[in-house]
Amino acid sequence: MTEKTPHQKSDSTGHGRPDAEAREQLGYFAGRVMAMESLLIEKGIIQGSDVQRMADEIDSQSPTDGARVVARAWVDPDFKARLLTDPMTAIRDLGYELASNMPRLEVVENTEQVNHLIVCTLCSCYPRALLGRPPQWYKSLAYRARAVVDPRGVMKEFGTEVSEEVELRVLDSTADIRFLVLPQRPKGTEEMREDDLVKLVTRDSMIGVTPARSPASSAVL
Amino acid sequence: MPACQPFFCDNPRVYSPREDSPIPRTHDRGGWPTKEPIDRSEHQIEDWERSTDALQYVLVGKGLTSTDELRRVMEDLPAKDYEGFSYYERWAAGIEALLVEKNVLTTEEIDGKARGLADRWEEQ
Repeated sequence: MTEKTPHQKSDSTGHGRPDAEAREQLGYFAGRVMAMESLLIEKGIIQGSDVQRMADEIDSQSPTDGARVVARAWVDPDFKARLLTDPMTAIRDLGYELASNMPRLEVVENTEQVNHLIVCTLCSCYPRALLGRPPQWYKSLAYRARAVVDPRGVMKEFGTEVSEEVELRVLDSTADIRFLVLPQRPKGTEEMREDDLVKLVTRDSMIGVTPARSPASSAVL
Repeated sequence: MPACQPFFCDNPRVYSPREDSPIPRTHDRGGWPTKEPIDRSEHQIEDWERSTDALQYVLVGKGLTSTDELRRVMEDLPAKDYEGFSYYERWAAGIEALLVEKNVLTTEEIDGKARGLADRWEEQ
């Protein structure tokens, strides 16, 4: 990758949690957003229920959606082949409604040789249709900065040791293209039913920072 | 003088006379030198953050804004704000900047409405 030079003056450690001043501003921004919403409603630009309805719809998206897609790919080789070549069609065939204006989605497969890791260095683009809203850490300045230069170190913080033999590919998402990781099917799951496999597929395993759960560890959870 | 592409040198909005690069890139975090550990704690979304999140998608659905546009206006935030604001504070500031830029709302209107809401909030 090209070298990137910071512009922050020497106090680049100053970011992180909002300080007291920023916390006081929470009320400020909440007020601005409420004000904008009511003005847009008054002007007839949006309907009174639009924001609430959209929030409910977004709430309904969760990593379980992605997990169902992954589990199906584990048990159905034909589906997996289609998922990797034409993911939108394959996912719609499973019964998911994907908006026609949704950004392009790519599904990338983790294997014994290759581990993919997803980041959005510029902001927070993420396959929301299948995973819901991104977790806080995915949007953090630290993850965005480090994932592309020290993916092994980042994964280590998530408890994942990746052998030097394994190639790490870091994929940088944009507004126009989103990635979903198809994690490896854990060993010892050959006899498991699809519905039970779904429970092994975690959000983080579809971002690529951790493997899917092993059946032994999920029994505890 | 820094090496500078003519477009950037000639454009006061994007030209920043720093010695290492012509473009302010506070937002461009890939490879930013930091050893800061990743805070993996889960964040329970607050009501106003949930509304902010949804409002942006409503506006995109109406064709009034796009994901790229929101990112652009957030990238225009002063570095201090970009780094000091929380995630949805950046969104809220960005949505406002876009609606004002597109003449959908004015800052004065938002000021007035927000003041009214705050007064009613206190009365409750």
